[in-house]
Amino acid sequence: MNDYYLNIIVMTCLWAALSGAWNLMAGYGGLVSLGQSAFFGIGAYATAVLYATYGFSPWVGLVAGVVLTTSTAVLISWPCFRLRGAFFSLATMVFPIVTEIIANNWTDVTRGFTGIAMNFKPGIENFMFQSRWAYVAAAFLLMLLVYGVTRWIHRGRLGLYLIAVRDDQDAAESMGVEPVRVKLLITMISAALTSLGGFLYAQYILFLDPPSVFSINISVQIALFSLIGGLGTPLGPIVGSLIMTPLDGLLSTVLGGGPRLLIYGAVLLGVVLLAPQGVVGTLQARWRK
Amino acid sequence: MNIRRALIASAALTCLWGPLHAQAQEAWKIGALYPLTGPLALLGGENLNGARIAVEMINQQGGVNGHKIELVTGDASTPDKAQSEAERLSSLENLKVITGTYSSGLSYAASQVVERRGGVYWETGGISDGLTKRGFKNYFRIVFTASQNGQLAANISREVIARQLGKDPKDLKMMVIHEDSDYGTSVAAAAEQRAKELGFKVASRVAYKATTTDLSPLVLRMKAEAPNIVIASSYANDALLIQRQMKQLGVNVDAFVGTGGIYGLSSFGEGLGNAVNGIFNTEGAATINTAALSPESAKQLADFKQRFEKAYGKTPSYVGTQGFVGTYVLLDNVLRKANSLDPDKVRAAAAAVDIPAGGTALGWGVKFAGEGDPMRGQNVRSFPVAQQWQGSKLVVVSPDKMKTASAILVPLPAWDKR
Amino acid sequence: MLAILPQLLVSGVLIGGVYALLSIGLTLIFGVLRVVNFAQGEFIMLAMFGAFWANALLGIDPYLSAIVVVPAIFMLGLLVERFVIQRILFAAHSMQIFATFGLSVLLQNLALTLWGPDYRSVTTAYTSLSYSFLGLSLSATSLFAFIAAIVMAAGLIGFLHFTRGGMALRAMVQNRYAASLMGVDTKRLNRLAFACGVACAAVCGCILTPMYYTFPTVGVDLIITGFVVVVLGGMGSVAGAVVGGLIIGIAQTLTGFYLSVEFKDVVALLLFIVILLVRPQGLFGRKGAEDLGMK
Repeated sequence: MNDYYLNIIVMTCLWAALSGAWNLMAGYGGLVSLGQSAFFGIGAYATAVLYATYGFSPWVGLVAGVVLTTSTAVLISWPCFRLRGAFFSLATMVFPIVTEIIANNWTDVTRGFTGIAMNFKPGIENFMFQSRWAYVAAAFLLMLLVYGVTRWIHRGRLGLYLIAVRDDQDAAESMGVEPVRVKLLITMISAALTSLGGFLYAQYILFLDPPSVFSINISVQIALFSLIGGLGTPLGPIVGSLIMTPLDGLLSTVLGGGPRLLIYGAVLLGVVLLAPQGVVGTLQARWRK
Repeated sequence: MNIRRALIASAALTCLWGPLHAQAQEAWKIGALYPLTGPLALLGGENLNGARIAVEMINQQGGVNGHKIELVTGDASTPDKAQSEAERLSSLENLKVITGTYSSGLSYAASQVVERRGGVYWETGGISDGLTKRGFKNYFRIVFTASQNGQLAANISREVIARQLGKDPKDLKMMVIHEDSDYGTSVAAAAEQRAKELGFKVASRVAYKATTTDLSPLVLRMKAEAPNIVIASSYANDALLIQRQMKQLGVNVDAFVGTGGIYGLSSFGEGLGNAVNGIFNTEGAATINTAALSPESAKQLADFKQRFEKAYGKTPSYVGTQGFVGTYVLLDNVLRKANSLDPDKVRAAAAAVDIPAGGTALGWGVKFAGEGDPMRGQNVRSFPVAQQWQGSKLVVVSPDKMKTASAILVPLPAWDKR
Repeated sequence: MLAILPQLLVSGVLIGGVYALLSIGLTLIFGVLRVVNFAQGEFIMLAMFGAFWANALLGIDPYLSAIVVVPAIFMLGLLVERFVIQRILFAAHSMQIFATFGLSVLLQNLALTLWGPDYRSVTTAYTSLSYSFLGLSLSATSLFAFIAAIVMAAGLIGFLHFTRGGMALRAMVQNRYAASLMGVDTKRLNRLAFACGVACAAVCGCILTPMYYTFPTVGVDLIITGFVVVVLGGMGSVAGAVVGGLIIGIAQTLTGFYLSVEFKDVVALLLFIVILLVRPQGLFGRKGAEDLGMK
């Protein structure tokens, strides 16, 4: 199969995974984070820095990324959880900006604005592969992992607690649910999964610089896919990515430029206004009837 | 008799028909990857437009060895888009030769894909030094590097500015300001280093965020340090803000040297009116003294400008011209000699290119650093020139061979007189 | 170094006025509708383009063009409220956020498609003008922005506290249900409030046109500071927006000069984080206002 299509599959799975991680926080936890790109970028930089600057195998970077992001999640959650609604979202917007500034200025480690270009040396120990199929497998596995975690939460107690907290925090608290613990747990899981996505991105594209990985557009895109597919459902992010990623590629070739992003904005607006349940949600509602 | 005549006639016709028919060979497709959306769209688009004119001109001359050239464009607005578009062009459209990208970050991502697939990447605008330090065998960059630009700014500070001021560099205070992206930082760092080598008193190198809404702290710093010369690398809004706030806060300098980008665009001139005159700009230039160009290049440049204006309604800036020159050299010198799109042949032809200075519309020569050179693929005969805004237009003031006017307004008059 | 302090303070106050101008509309919309309008920057951008085209095509001074541009944006605000905002007023927060975010992306790229990415500028007699006062320089354009911010803020506060319409608005904000029982037409007030909020953005745009380049994504850069100011001052408080703007303006100018110019943009962020940690309702906000639970 042509490498171009394989590339689309890799990106579709990657976006589905990232979107799924966000879905855990926002769809189940009601925590609409607009700062996921902070975790994404940290995951990407962890592996890039350890590989390019210090010569460590990316597998080390993988673990480092997860550790870093979950600790960051703990750190930033504490001040943010006291806020609700749009305040929370605004607060989350700050973190990618801060991490981008750190990445830009800690030049010894991150090479600043120049970014890091990773040398392609294929081999399993470097998590770099000559064949695209390996990346397809990795991305697909990640997507499955996120889906699996989401389903497990969806059916389990954590999911129940989360939804209780999301819908009525005070009532949930009076029932004995600890909102902070529950929110923290989901944020850590989401952060770790997002960091894995960042890792895969870095290993695949082999180039990153602060503006591209900490960009608000990434945060918007992963939210958009969940929204379109169906917020708060395990399949939603996958469906959303399946629809949008190839479509985006197609639009690039046909339109390009302002008109393409115009359509993006219109789709986002349209989904929110007309089909807030997303594809999966609307279908599920139909089936129930 | 009639039948024989008819037979001869048809035989003759068939013989003629053969070569006539052979003229229409299949078109050669080349990829063109530029940022057409996002913050780089303005200049990315212009780079591409320059390339388009090159293709148009070549096609009108009959194409490359009879093959018409077709550009297949891709929108590379972010590194991952650049990557997937590069993938699309090389895998799906099966293009072996791809040009791009204007932005260094995007070039890194895209060329990496193309090199792995064995294709040729032809960079017409990205200037980050690192691009030609990767040892890629199929990556060719026709434009000069960011460091060269920064160094020139420092050089003309001595050769043109200090000389006209009648002072020695060690008696002149300099300040380098730059927006904090890769471009701004590389240029500024190179300028600072070279300036120090030349003996200037470099008071400081100050970075700032390009998107900031207010630069009065920066300008007040300038006021406090009172440099004679300021070298600046800016993005867009910041360039305008700096000048306006310098005027508002009464900060006068002897010379202000911009280093490409916004400082070479007409929007900068429009935003400042007469006050823009006297400001220097180091960059490539489409307006060098045509005496420095070979007669063919001079004609080519004029032709290009005319076509660009007709097609896009404005004078081409350096960015558009570099897209043109890069693509023209690819088509006319490299592909014509290679007579094929096969990457090995193209690479060999590129390595063999040997155009002397003055041989392209920008006054550059072309010779790519070869195998074994740490900067493999870099055109070592490209260089920036020093320009100055005079009469609300940019003219070239250095080096002497290329200049169209001499530097004026050194020292810059105080704001109220500009 | 201390000699320059008065000038720094003056410059800080003036840019603070610009920030206040950016934020007043935002805080108004939040105060009444409880919606964070992520597209506020785009309304500013549209007004800037309006002022630019009025100047480029008809030669009208940007400040004067406000006479036409502001009502036009007001009308646009009415439409947007009716078709977008009204529908998500009681929806989940995520929906509200994405509605205005989507609007923001849409408007940015509409501008990009229509007018291209070029940087446009308007140059008038006063674009680089500055006044001298007690040995200090005051940039004319910033001064006008400052004055406009104060006038607009005073006008709004006056309206909210001293007119019947204003009182109805405040009643509605305090208790929507009770207010509607008392005969307040909440739907109409919401629409007017939103349209007023974006009209404030339009005023801001016209005033900023002589200061900055006009281009499709100018709103994005400007509005981030707006959010910080609004949170600092207290969501929903017009006085807070002014005070917040001044604080940020002065803080940025001082850190930019004494510490590092790059750092000055971080200062706003740090203040943002500190405020969220220490006093999330902002300086002038009511405690608990940050809790948007729809109970």
